[in-house]
Amino acid sequence: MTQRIKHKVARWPMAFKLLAREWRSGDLNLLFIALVLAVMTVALTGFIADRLQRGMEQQAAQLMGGDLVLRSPREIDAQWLQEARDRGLQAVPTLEFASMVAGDSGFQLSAVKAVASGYPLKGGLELEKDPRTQLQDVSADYADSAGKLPASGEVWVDRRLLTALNAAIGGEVEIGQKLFTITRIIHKEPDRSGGFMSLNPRSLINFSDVAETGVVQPGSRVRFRYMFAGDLPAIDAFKDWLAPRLKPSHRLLDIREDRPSVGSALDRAQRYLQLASIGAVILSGVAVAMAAGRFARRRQDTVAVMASFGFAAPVMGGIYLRLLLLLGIAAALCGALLGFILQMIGTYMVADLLPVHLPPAGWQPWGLSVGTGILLLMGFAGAPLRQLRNVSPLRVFRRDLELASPSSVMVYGLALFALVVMIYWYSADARLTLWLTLGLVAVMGLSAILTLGLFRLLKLVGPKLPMRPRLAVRSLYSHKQTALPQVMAFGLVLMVVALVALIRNDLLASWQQQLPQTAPNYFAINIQPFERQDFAARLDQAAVKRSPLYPIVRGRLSGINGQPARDAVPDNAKEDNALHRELNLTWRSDLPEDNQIISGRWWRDDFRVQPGAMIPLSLEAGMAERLNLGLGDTLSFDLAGQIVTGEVTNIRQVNWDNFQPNFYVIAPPGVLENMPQTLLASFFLSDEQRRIVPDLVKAFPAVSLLDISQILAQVRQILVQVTLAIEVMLGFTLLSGLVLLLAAVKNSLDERLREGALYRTLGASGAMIRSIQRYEFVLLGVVAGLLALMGSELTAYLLYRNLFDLDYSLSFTHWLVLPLSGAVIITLAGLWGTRFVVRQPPLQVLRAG
Amino acid sequence: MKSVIRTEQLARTVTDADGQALHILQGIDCQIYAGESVAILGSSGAGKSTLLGLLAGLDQSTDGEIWLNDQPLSGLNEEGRARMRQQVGFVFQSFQLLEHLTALENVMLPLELAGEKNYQAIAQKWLERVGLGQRIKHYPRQLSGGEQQRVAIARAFAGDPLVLFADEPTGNLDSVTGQSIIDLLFTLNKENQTTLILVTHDANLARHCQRRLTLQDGLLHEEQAVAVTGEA
Repeated sequence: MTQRIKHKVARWPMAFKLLAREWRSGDLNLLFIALVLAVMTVALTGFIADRLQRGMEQQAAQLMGGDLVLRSPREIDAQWLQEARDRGLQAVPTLEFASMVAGDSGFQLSAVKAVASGYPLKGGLELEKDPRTQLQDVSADYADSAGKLPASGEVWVDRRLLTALNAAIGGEVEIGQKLFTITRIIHKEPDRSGGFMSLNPRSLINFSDVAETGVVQPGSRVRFRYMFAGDLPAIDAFKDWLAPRLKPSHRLLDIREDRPSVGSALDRAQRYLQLASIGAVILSGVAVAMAAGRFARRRQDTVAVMASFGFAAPVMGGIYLRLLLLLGIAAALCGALLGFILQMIGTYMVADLLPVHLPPAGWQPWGLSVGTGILLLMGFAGAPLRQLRNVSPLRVFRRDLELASPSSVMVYGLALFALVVMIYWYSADARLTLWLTLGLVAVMGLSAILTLGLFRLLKLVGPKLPMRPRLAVRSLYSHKQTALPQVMAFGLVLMVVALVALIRNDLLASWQQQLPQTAPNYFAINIQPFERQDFAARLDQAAVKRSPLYPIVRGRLSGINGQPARDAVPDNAKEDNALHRELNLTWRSDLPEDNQIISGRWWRDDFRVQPGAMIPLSLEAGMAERLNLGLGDTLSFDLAGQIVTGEVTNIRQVNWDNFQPNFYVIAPPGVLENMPQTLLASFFLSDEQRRIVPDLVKAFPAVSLLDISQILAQVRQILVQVTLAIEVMLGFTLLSGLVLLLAAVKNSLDERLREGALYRTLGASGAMIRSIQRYEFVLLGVVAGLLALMGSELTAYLLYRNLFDLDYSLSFTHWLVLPLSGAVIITLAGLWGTRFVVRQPPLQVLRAG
Repeated sequence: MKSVIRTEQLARTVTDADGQALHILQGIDCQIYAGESVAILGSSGAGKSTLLGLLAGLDQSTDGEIWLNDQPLSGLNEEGRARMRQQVGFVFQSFQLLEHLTALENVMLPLELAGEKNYQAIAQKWLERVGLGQRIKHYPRQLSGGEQQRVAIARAFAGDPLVLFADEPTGNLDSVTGQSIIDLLFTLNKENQTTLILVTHDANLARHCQRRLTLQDGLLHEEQAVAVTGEA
């Protein structure tokens, strides 16, 4: 026993010594390079993703005013705030409510926000520097509020309010029972969220003044927003602490939830970054496997000789596994360091292009990349090297005793296991892991079957071809043991790159489409029916791109299936906003653009509800889900005292990210026309066209104009960053694809060298060998391209449907581009990788063999 | 008699790790005539295989000239030498068959490379002549050492070579199998009137050849001709 232990311990020093020797021999180079590149790619992508994500989250946090926001209709338990502060977080309350603001020459409904010291925790409040700045001068300088807030008795307003009240700085206005002096004009508010509550012009007052206004009474519709900021781990811990204490009326918002546009962009971008780095890791993993296989084949003799000297093959195999681990650690550290340095250089170089400052990376990418390196090595190189334990000492006498290939269950099982662990580790997303693994296994299985089928087909047509293609086909077919993994590796490279590029294009296109340059940047609400034509005409006169004017009837959801609404919904929905405020209803004959029916049917264009007939209603999917409503449920609305009841006949998916007017409930024409109504429109004003704003405000004083261009600009800025991250990832995926390509070519190099020498001995010229190789690589490339085509379409279909929420359509350019580019890229890489085949003197190669 | 191979002052020098010149072959003059069988003898490391490689155009000399079928080799580049090699055949100690090709495909390969139209029929005929007509679809790993060498011999003769170079053709075989290979080689050589140049350290094997040349200290010496004892 003691001896056995001693024996085991001695293997480590031996592995060290051997590593030094093997290092000098140069045979570990490819394995080391493949590994360093794998880790470097992971590190680089990890660092950049980490920093970009921090950057994006920081910016998103600025949009929200904090890292975490708790929204509540009532004041929360003071202990909760204390708890947050005890955890080292900053916590600030704000209170929002709608109130009339009265000036000397009129009054205006305003969204009042009361803020306390510390507001905003993230981002800055920008104020107009010169109080006398003319309205047209939107490019004036702005000053940051630098943490200052309206003092007691002061109100800061936005310019819309000033215009609507025909007031000026220094003027006095009344909010409720308290008199305020207008002291500043707000230019940009970080946490200005959408939603109709804030469509009214803003007044900002000090939190301590709220009581004196007398506006907020028990039962008033107010909204408290508690903002928290601090270290992410502390934020997360606080969130976990808070979650079980929340009441149904509370909503906890983080940056992913608060801003649908930013949230879904961030979400998709994050998935994309994960996917691209997983792609890079898969490619590198296969490269490592190929390099390790080659190394193991070349070390059979060493192990056999050592075995004949009494070092049993399992002992030697064990030493080689240790050597591998040492190499892995060295490569992982090198790779991580290189990745870190490259990332520093890269971000330094593009720093000016970035819309925000990138915060430094955390420690996580270090652990992630080094861990990846070791896991990758053990998963992908473990099986081939373990197989060295089975070398027979008889090989010393009989060179033809080739090592049996390691069992495929072992090789693929280990690699798949490593892969699943890594994918899950990166993404912490069981769904992504499941779909990617399933996609990969399906694609690999299908690829193997397809490739063998294609090879068989080639074998049939081969003999009828001219000499060079014939020899190429024969070489391919007869080498199917090595050609199959090679073609699959090539296919994988093309597939991953195609997929990463495809998703990139579709993601960017969907964002472009969602937020075109002329996306509406203004909303006009409260347009009275009598103003309808004038308002539209005014916009059309200035050639403004606008939406139709949607009529809005405001109504409260009073009943569901004949019961009071609140009694009919599940407990967790009783506090839902939809039950507590007036909803905007409209009528339409056609389905709004960007809406999609997910169940039921939309009514015909010429459908009119007949008096006394049941009214069909179209319901938004999210609301249907929250209130547990479905087709056939009846809804009653209290429309200014009049009850209208209809039946849900279809459910609509609404794209809330598109900055277009959207509605929860739509009725067909013939129901709501006679109800009290206002109209709503969205439109795009170019910088030039903004001149019409003051005229509009003057001509339609009751109409509220909401400028959302700041929100749009912020969302766009984030998308620019996301796009950059996506481009960077695509680049690195390409790089790892190239490495795998070369590793795969190199893997068959020994065999090709010997064959090339033999061909030349038998009279083939170098040019002829090159030409045969060219045919062979073209064939390999086309087959790989076909595999990639199948694989990328299949995986894209699964990913689009299940992860990215994008529409999938067959990409016909891929059908042409993939096989063609496969042929070109693989031929070039193949010919470059095998250029020595015709350069080495044949005698030298034959003697070595 | 027409000489198939002629050398003049042929030399091959390599430089060792210390920068010292090592003269493997020096000043070699020889002539080999059509239809002759010649053995090149020498101890291990004497440079036999190097000489064979030079004569066959697989390697380049550092000095001197070689004429293969009256064509000087020194002026040719690798492409030219490859073309010349279509006139010669090889049998190696380690067989040098392509593992992934069947016996038939191995024999077909040089014929195809030379643009022969009837490659399959010719290859099949030669495999039958070496006694492997039933095993043409077998891969090298499914054949014994002796059978593999037979495939190599069929491959060498199939191209109807002017000169056949054999480098220790029995070196990897037991004596009984080795003897049968020698018998086959010499019989086919005789029937096809091929010039045979055989490198060996086995004096027994050398005795089958009409002429014997011995390499020693980089120099080539001719021994007295002896009676050919090889019989089919």
